[in-house]
Amino acid sequence: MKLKAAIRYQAVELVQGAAAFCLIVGAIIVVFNLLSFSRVAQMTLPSLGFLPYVLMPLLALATFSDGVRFLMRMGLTRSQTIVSSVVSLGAVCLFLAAVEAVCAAFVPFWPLGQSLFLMTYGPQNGPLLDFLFTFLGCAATAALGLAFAALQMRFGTRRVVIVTVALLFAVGQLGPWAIADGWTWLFALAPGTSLANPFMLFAAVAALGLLAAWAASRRYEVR
Amino acid sequence: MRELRAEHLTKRFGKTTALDDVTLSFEHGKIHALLGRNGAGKTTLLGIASNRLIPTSGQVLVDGEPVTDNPRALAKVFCTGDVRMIPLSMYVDDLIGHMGRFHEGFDAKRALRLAKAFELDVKAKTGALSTGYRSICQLVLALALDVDYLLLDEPVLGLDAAHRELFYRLLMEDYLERGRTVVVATHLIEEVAAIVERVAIIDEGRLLMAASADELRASGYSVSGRAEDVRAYCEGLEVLGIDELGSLAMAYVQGEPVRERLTDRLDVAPMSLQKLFVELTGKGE
Repeated sequence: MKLKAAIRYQAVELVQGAAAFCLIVGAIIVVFNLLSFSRVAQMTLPSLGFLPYVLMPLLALATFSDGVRFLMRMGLTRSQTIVSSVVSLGAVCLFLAAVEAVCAAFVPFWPLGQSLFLMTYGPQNGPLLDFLFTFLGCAATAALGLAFAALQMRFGTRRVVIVTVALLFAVGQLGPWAIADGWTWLFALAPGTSLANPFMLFAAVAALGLLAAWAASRRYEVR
Repeated sequence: MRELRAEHLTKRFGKTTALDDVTLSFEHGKIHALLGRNGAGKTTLLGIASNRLIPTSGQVLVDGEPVTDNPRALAKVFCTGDVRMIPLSMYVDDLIGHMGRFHEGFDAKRALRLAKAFELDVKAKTGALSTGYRSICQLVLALALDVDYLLLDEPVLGLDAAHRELFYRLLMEDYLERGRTVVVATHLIEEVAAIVERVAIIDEGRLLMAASADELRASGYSVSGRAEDVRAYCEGLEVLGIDELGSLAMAYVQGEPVRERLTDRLDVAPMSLQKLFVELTGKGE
């Protein structure tokens, strides 16, 4: 009963947040197009397709700062709070992916103007693969956000931020060219690489993020 | 045996020891006072009992089951307190709605009645409530919830006299109706002295004393009179403290009055829980 109530509470909050985000982005796109169409101003609309991947970790962080505290007050165990957060964030990923796929299918300029996946890999890949890419990409960034939030709750903000910055710095020092080549290969941007690569990368990142969040949640405290 | 029990409970925050090997039982069906000065470890103890904190060592058992991350044990416990655990943007009526979904034994109608009695605005956001009304909001939830163990951490924080009186009356009615365990953690001893049956005193993370309220009251007495008479009376006795004002003095003594030392110039009176607490914790409020 409690887990069901927790998922309902978190999922509703998060999907509402994501819906508000979609409405704002949609409004920006409509205004840009109206201005261009009426020739009031000639502006090029930048691609906003990356925004869902930024939104997801922010939602994961937000749901941890308030949501998990509330769920623990309501008597949920630590495992239940993580399960509830993961299911709720998964629901948001599904929602964003569905919106992306619908736009890719029905909005004429979307595949070549706004869809990160179709712009990168070609519009011939279609809305279904776009859906999968968006879902897995959002899941991966959400899992990273969740892991960061859970580690922050377990070990404190200062330690986690210092370790994250140190890790990023260390990675930056380990040969930027090799890393750039690695990214190109992982995202299947190099000639001859498989389109499955980005999907596998996202799935692996999501799994690792969830594992880290789960491990950190075993002993986190609400103070 | 039905009880909420702390067993060799130790909790450290870095180098600070908040609880140090505390073993303590809150028997089912009684109102308990958990007394301690600010920073004594009361909130930490209740935090562990409500699964908010994890003990460094030891455990808290609810009816024999460890409470940490145990849904069955947690279903029997509800803890109120000043630790911010409710989103500030949540409306009070939404909170009442959520309580009903999370807890089978929550009576939303009763919560709304209690909110009305306390003049709590259910259309307000919890973040917009004053300290007193934040406490009231939590008390309303607690009193409308049917759980076996109700842990109230500084329940009257910020409440005015009328609301405090109303809360104590409602708490007594609730107790008589449900017969559940209530643990009131506070440093306002005199206010709870009339309603509690058992008292535990903790100081600097250690359990100083746990007994029935009557036993504690009978464990000491005060003797007053001229300072030299009082000092002469107290010689060799276990004196908790002496307050002197000019030529007059009042001593707080443990044990039974020594009849052969009493004279017409000395007055003996029972010791209040407040005074016993202040003298036991040894720093004066």
